[in-house]
Amino acid sequence: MKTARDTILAALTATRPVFPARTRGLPAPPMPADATAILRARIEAAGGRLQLASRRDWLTRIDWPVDLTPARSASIYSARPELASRGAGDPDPAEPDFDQLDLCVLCGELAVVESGAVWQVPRTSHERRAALLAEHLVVVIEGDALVATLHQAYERIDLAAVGFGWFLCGPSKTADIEQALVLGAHGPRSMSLVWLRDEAAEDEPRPT
Amino acid sequence: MGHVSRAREFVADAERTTWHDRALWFVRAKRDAAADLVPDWEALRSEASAIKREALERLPELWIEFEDQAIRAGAVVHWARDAQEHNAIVARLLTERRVTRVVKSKSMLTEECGLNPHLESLGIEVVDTDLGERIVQLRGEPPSHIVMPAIHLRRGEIGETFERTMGAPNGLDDPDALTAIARRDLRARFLAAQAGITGVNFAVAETGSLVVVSNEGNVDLGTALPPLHIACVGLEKIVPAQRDLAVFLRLLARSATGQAISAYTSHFRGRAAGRELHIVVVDNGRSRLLAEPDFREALACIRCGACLNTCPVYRRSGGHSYEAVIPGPIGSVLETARDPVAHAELPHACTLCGSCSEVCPVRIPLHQQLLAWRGVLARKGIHPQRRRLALRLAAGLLARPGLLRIFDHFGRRVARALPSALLEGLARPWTRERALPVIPAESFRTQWKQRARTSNASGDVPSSGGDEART
Repeated sequence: MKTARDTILAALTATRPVFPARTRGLPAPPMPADATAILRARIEAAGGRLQLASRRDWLTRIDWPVDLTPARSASIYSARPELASRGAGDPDPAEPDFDQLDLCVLCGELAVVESGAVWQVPRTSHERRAALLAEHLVVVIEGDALVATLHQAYERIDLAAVGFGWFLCGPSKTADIEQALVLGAHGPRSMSLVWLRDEAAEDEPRPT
Repeated sequence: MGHVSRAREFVADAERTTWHDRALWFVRAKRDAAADLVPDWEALRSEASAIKREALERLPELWIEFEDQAIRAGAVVHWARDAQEHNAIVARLLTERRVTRVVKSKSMLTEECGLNPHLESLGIEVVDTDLGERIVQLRGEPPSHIVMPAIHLRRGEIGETFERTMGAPNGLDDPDALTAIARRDLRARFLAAQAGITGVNFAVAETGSLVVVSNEGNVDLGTALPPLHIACVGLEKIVPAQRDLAVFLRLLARSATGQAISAYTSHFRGRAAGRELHIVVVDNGRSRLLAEPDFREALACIRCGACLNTCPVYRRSGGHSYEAVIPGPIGSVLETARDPVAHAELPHACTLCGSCSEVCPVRIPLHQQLLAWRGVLARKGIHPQRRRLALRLAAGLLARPGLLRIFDHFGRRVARALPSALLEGLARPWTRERALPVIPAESFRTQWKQRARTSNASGDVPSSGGDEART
């Protein structure tokens, strides 16, 4: 008996269409001069924030969505060495499961200016879970992590080597009740993209 | 009941109809604003169309490549010829693992296959996790829109549903508060689920990856927490290479909601440690549609819903009036292909304004397909008796100029002599919402001749588009 696979592939071969010849290939748009401003506008349109800081002191300079002082005992998962995980976020096997987290800090790889999205590959399933269950999400990118559009992003990504990866843009959101925007539908209620740059480049680039 | 009757029910609530119309037009306007910010938008649409055409030409090769890559990455690939096989495969995967609690994210394919009722009949609880889908699930209704499943409902109705099902306070209708209640309820269900079922936006042949987008993050919670992920994918969802994703993802969210990109665009490849990924590839009539030269391009659809939002008929008749899994222009094409007899009215629920084709991100000639469907249905004789008769009469007259002139000459005289109420009665249902025009004393032909004579006499030259003021 023929399997479903054989039947389907045979049917697709039998009904194979031929469309008129066409040209393919789209030139990827270049990086805009006001890239930072566009990236910021796109992220803010998605309900997120863009924060610029220097590698040296970003931890104390950016606007954190939760109080980081130990006395406040916020539960944190952090993928950055400067900030320790604690509480439920600590990937210590002693506490493998959690259903609530105050803050998740991730390392992003690329930020796509035109989309306002950041490409991120969770290192562990614990990290992926933390990114979804946390109340607030902070994704940190460094240096020349900006690309103009998704075309350039996919040139730098190798999906064959990625078991799970995602573009993130702003917090979890819904507009399913009368089109009213609500942040924090299921996942984080806030999302910040933190772009760390060298001291020299700290100022906003000005179009010349 | 048919589209006309269901639409009449919907428009009986004028306030709702007006709100529905404006809400969807607002989404259309956001789509325009988002598209305007992309300088190469039209080229992007052409590129997307070209990629989809290439994919449709190479479906068997692409799916074999996909399967090979997915298996290498540790996924299991299943093939289903129809809805029944699809449902049986999913049910077997779940029952073999003694799964009784499933979370599902939005998937028009599983709606099409009737997966939920099938699993429920086996004692498996399926929770739709997209907020809009959850709302309609709790009300026992189908989605009325492919992107905004509860767009037909007002906040008060949703509050009542939440009061009945989740103990929300009486009279609560604040979207923030209602969403918070659903979030709390669904969070517990995510954590308790033993399996997650998702649809698929794009399957990448080159890498065996699946791409699924969502704004709420429900796709990700439903796949990151339970150990089993079942992804159900229609044959038309394949794209050749990872670079093609850039083209579709630049178009999809902008066309759907006016967002630059969805909040979550997740790429799954294979199985993570301790987890399973099962991919169910479904035909269910797609290979048959591929054989139809006039309609096969409907398989390029990326389910953005832009054609629904812009459609003057959809906006004013509501999704449920289509009595179809997918409503609106694309639904009228696809559902008529699935069952021409059941959905014969849908190609006629179209003004042929062409707006759907203008906004379609993959350039499906939707209004032309709807027109073509009318021809197919007419040739197959799938028409109400009355329309068939009227069309035959019109065809007979229009093909015979002499006869037409005689009919026109006497017809106008008879029509002008009859009382207008009687005339309107004869022209029902057309005259239910419209007044008949005044029947002129002279035929168009005579009027045209007279007009030509007058303008020649006064020396006027009929101008074409003479708007430019040249000096």
